[in-house]
Amino acid sequence: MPGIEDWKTRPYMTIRQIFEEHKGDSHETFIKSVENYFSQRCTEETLKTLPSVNSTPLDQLQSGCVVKYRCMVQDVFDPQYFVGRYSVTNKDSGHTRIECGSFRDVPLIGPNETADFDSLQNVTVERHGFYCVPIPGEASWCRRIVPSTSNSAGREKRGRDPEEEDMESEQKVTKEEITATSAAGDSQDKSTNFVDEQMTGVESSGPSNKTTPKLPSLNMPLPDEKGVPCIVRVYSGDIELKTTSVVEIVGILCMDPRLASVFDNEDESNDITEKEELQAHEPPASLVPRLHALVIRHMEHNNPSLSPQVDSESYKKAFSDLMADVSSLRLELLSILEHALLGDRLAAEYLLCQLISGVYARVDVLPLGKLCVNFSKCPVWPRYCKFLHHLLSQLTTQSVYLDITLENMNSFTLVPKKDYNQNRVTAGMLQLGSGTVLVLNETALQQGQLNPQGVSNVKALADVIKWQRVDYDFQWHPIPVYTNVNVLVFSEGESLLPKDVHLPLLTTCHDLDLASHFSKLDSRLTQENLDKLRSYISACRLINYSVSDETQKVIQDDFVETRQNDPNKMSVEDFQTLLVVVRLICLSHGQPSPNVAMWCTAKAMEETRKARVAELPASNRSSS
Amino acid sequence: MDIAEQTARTNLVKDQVGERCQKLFQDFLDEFQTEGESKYLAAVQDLIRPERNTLTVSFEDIESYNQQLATTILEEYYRVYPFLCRAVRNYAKDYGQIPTGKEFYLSLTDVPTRLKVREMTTIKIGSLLRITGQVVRTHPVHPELVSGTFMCLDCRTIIKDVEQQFKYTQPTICRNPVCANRSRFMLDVNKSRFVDFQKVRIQETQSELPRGSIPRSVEVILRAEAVETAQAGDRCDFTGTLIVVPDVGAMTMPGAQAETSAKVGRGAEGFQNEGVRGLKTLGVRDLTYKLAFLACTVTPTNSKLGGQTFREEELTAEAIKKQMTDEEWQAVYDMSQDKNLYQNFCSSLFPTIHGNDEIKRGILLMLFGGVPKVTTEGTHLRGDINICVVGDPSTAKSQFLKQVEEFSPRAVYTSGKASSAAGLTAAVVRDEESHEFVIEAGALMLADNGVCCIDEFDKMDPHDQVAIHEAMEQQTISITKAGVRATLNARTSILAAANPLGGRYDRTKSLKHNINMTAPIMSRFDLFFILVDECNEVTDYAIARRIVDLHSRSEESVERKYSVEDMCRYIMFARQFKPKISAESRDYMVEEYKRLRQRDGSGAGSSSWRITVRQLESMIRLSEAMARMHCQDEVHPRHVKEAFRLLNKSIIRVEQPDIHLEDDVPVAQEEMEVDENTAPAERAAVDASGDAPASQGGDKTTPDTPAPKAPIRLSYEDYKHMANLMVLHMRRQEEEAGEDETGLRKSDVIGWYLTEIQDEIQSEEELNEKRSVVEKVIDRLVHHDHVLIQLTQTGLKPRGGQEGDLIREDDPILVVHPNYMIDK
Repeated sequence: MPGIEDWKTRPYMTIRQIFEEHKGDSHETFIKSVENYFSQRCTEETLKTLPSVNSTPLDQLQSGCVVKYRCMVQDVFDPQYFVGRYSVTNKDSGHTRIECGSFRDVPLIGPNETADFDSLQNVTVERHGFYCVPIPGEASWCRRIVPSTSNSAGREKRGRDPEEEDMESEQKVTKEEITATSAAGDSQDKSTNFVDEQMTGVESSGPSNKTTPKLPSLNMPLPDEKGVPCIVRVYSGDIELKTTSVVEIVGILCMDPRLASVFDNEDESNDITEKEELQAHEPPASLVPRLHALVIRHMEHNNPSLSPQVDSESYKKAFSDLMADVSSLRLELLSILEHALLGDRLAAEYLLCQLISGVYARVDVLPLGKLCVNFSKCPVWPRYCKFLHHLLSQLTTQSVYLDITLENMNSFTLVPKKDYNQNRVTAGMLQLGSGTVLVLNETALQQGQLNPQGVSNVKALADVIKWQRVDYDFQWHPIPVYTNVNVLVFSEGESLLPKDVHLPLLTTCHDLDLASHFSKLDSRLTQENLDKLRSYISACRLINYSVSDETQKVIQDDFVETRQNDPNKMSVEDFQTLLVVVRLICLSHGQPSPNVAMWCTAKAMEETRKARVAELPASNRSSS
Repeated sequence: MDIAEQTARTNLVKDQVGERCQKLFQDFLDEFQTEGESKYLAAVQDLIRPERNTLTVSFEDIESYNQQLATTILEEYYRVYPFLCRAVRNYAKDYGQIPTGKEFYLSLTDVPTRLKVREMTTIKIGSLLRITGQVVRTHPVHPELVSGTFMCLDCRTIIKDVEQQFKYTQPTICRNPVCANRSRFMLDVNKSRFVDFQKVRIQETQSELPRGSIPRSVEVILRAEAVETAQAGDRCDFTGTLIVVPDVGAMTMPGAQAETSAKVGRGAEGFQNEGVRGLKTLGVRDLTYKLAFLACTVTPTNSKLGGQTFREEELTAEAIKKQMTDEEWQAVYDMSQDKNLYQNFCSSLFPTIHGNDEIKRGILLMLFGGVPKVTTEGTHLRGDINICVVGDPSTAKSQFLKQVEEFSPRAVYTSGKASSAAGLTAAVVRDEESHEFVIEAGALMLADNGVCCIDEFDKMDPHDQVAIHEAMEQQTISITKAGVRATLNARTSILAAANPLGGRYDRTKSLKHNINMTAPIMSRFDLFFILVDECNEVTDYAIARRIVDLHSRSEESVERKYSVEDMCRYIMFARQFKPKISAESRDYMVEEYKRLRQRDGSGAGSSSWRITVRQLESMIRLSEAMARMHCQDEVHPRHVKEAFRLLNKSIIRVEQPDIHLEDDVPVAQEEMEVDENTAPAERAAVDASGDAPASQGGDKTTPDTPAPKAPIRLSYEDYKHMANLMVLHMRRQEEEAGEDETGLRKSDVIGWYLTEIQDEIQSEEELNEKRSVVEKVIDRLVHHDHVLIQLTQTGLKPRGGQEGDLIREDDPILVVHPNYMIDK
């Protein structure tokens, strides 16, 4: 009895039907029509009704149902070959039927049936496997917008170190925020305990791997990340998924316990090395469910309150609504950032630019559009950066906080590394999706010795900032992978890492009670306000930018003229930065192309900034 | 489904194609001759030795002998392979005594079809292919059962020659008609035959990898003599065919636990597990597979560390051409015909970097490289060109390096600052598992036969600098550490970028004082470039346009005449040429070198270390690279001319500072000077900013100090030259005069000097100028260098015939310091 909702709950029936219809056709056509069928069903409306692997605990999901999954590709497995079409013979009756092998892990064979391997009707085809993880650093508000029952309130109290007991006030903030923003949750908890958790995470994962080989590491880029990774099987060959692609997948969930039987056969394998690989590639489905992809969509942004399709009507409408009061939104955001940056308006402007920056094109090796901001003269209160990061995590969809301490640098795995024993890429913290805000706290750094790991970690961070790429460690040679990460560095003096823009903070208020300082923002960060600001940031990043010929001319002339007057005033690099700043200022006004006034604003901003840098004592100023 | 099975079955029913191939192939072995001798006879006879079992046959020979046979082998390789092996066996039997149980194998080389790892699909299964990959993992060698002898456990009947193909295959039923045993057999290991078997995993090579993708890997099965020929880290070519093997992951599904009773000793056969379960417990397991590659031949394309394989050099242009498709070849051909190739190449190579044409040219020639040579004494002369770019921050230095890294297939980018001791050179490390010492490759070695881009060269650890010193000239790296002594190849070009000391390039100082590098290392760079943030309206406009354009559109706006792929291919092709220097070019080169030397020596002759044989070698290398770029087998004078010009632009004479004569206390002002016998317009990038032109080394005097206030500057050479002339003259005078003479008066010296150079002086004005210069020089010699001693005291005994008893203050007597030695 076919029902209208059948494609969601009983997808195999639908696939079976399509399979019957395409008996005579090639396997590719069959896969195509299955995908067509499902992508037609997956409208924006119906997508909302699908259960999400991200927010629903696995025990509430049903194997064999259609689910959606928002994720980042962490590793690409070698293609696998399987029998796409095979014939099954019933031992008792001798009756033969043709089965479809696609979209499932365990073939459909009854107890008294056997598969006929030599049947001429069998077709061997290939499918691709991808190891996907929930988007690293995804803000809790992104996850929570989908109503679900999964959030255990108990987690909030967990994991406080004794030394943090004195942070009573902060806990208060947490509570106040919960009540104020209703975006309840562990985000604060998480941000404050981020590093500590990481430390314990690293420590515990090491030995536990050795003692209990049965539980494979879930390979999350961020060690403290919670969520369910999936192995996604893709049947059509024309979808290109690369590592760190952020995608939304609609597919059939498979959590067949039989898949776990790999681990029960210890005596079977005589090759230890092979076994390791096997465990990595076929972990128990209860830990890493399989997802047979029906529809795959690249996500341009990860803001649940905006339509995922940028060219859809609903997005355009939301966009024009936003842009109607863009100037007030901009001012509001600026004043919030200004408050957070202890009253530095210029810094707030740069932070805003930084938040909406992103690589929009690459010319050869040069990434365009990125703006790494380094705020120096940062107050060294240990909690300051965490508070700031917490604020940013409320505003942006993905953010990651990292303390640059010697310990962290020497012990963390920032760069993904190929593990040839397991034949997979071990995740590193820099395996981040596009648009992630990476907050680096250099104020935590002390003098000391970096070990080789530390040196390579610092180099990896510098590579990300400078070239927006991460060289994955493939042992024999590095494999470069492009990233798009917005890096923000807080430091006491000028940061040791490269940067596009260096700005010493000029704090006007010396309010040492950070908690109460930041809690002043809470009244302004109402749910409604937050939603708007989040949408504003997401939308600004996606505006298509171009410069009119007249403005181009003005800019060029200005450059030449400035250099005529004083060659030292503007180097080519300064000019590049200036163009990036103009672009971001323009986008922050919701405009697709800049005018001369914006150019002047940008110039003024840069000049003020340079003046501030120049005021620094000479030892701090190697280059701006 | 499984080919092995199919083949096994077809074997029984006499594979006619196979039989025919066997016959033809045996004929081929018998009849194929080169230069009147049977080519493979000796090789086959060699197989009689117990440790040998594999015959290597060139596929090209088969092709030339019988096209049809070749096609059959190519298309149905998997099917006919056993027959080919049998042919080898029969042929060997004809020519010698061989043990009956011995198996023979065939290894085919020179197979034309080459595939990328990514291109392997199920369609290619069974046909003969060649793939290239980097070995990432090797498994231990196992014996594999090829033919089993079984004993029935029920009736003790012996069942012989049960063929094994990947799977451990038992007889289906006991031969004894009365015994109905189907499953209880025992393998008689002593009477069964085995072959060496090894699995290795290869991974896509970097050059084949699409951008941003994770490399794919595939398992390769090696047998017989091919085992242990590939080491982890090697890049190898594998010839063989694709097969599908059941995926172990899928093997262990429910139902798989059944029927494992028939297992024999562990490791008896590589695919035993799969075999047992795959065959006996049909059902669900065989539904997923993975591809494996069954290789009969392994040829390393290069060795990771210190291997003596010069494969790349052995390649000929012809061979490269063969690998290209028609369109690719056409593109290469078109490029070689391009009149404007040099320019177009440069602009396509660095489309985003404006200006700095000389650097681009230098780097381009570096990519082509010179011809490495071996002298009769066996010394290797490098062909690689090393370049150093020194420049202010925020000039496009790093971008040059990054670009080359992106472009060149074997390039490594490293930063001198970030690399620890193990970063650049090899290091000896203790293996964590085996506790053995192993040599870990550094960046230089990884870039063997490529380019090593070193950013922040100046910040490099001195320890590394020493190692790099060796690498740059000898092209090897030696390690002596922890009982390990090794000399490893590092035949790499070095492209270094360095920041000047103190952040900005100080033009008033010499190159040596601007960078933190020792002279021996500096001299090993063929080309030195200085990047200075130059400033003029025209270039500024161009730069502004370029950059604004980049930032204005979201789509990429890079204009390239040639695509990156085409250029790579072209360079690879052109690098196969080994141009010889024609007699004409040789004379020209000698001429130019002499000129360089002379000009260098004509100064004071003191700083000529800069123009040495090294520069001559550089010139040769650059000329060869030029010839290579034009795909020519001979170096023509025009190539030399360009090489010379480039060298001229880049040679920085690391010389003494200029002398400022105007100052009261003359401060040694040091001037980095570009070789400048060329016209001002041709002057190197350093001079471009419009500073006061550096003194012209060729002239004897400073030409441009008409303004009285302007400090008189003199290059050190000129200063030295003048000083030496005067000192020589004075010494001579002193000797002539004997004991009595104390010295010459200052005015005499000046007068003498001016007459010496009178033919260079045209006008009175000039004369005055010179006079003041000479005076200053003498002052300096007295007060600063203490070469001359001024005798102003009146206490000395007066001489008759001189101007008087009193020595005038303004015209003192000068004597040469007795300890002063005229250098050189």
